[in-house]
Amino acid sequence: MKTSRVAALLLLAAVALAGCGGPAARWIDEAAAAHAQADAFVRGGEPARAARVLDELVSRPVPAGVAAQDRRAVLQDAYARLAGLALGQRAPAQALRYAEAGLALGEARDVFTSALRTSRGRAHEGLGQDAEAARDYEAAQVVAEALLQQALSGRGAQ
Amino acid sequence: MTSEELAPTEAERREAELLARALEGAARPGDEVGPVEDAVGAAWLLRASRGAELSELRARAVLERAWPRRRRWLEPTPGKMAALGAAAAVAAIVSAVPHGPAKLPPPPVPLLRAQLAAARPGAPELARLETEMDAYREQVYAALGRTYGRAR
Repeated sequence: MKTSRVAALLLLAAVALAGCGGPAARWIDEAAAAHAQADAFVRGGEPARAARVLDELVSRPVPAGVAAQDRRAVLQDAYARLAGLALGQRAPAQALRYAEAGLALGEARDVFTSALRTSRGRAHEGLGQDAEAARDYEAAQVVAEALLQQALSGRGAQ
Repeated sequence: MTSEELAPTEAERREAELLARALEGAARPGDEVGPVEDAVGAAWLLRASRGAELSELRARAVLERAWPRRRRWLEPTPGKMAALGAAAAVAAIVSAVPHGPAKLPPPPVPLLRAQLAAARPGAPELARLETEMDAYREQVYAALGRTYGRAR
């Protein structure tokens, strides 16, 4: 076989595999699909089913190809949404567990951390833990204010 | 005793002798081959067909004509299989290596204002924050899709 044909075959295989996107792309697609499904359940008045879909998302193993920063963003967003759904169902203890799980992935100065701090504050408030709630609200405000200042001064890219 | 076990008759011996001669090519025009005419005819046909057998060269030519464009480069050989295996391994390794992080869009001002409004004791429902977050999430996933590509 000629070398050029070997090269063509290799290129074809590499392009085909690269075009498939791999497990990381699949995970991102599945996460987006889970949110879309959860949206539909919420609109249909079935928050418990929406929570199940998102719970499944956060329980799935994350492919090694996903950057740590993106992994955290996707999971923290899902945890914040789960906490919000639990709060909507008057289940602050469950909301607290979700918020804690999300924050355990690490905190950064971004909207995901701010949302989780807010959710945890709400959960503490629902459980009558006002001091803890106040601490979380304050932390959420510090992040949100810093981001707002950045956005207003045109330096908002994360 | 069956008919096969009986000794051949004189006529049968004669027929067998004629047939043997015909098959060996020793039959001559003057021979009386009438009684074994069919068998002799078959013997000649057999001999003729042996002469018309396909030689290896002709067989190859017929095959070439039947499959004029056989793609030999697609035929699996150890070298090709190894090359494909190597390509697959490289692609698998590349897909497992973490990407650089996606460049996420900056959070819009209304989302940040909603977060500030929600992060205080006794604040109203989180509905506004959720609506703003839904819109932002779409942008985030669009950015992630650009970075990681689409799964097929």
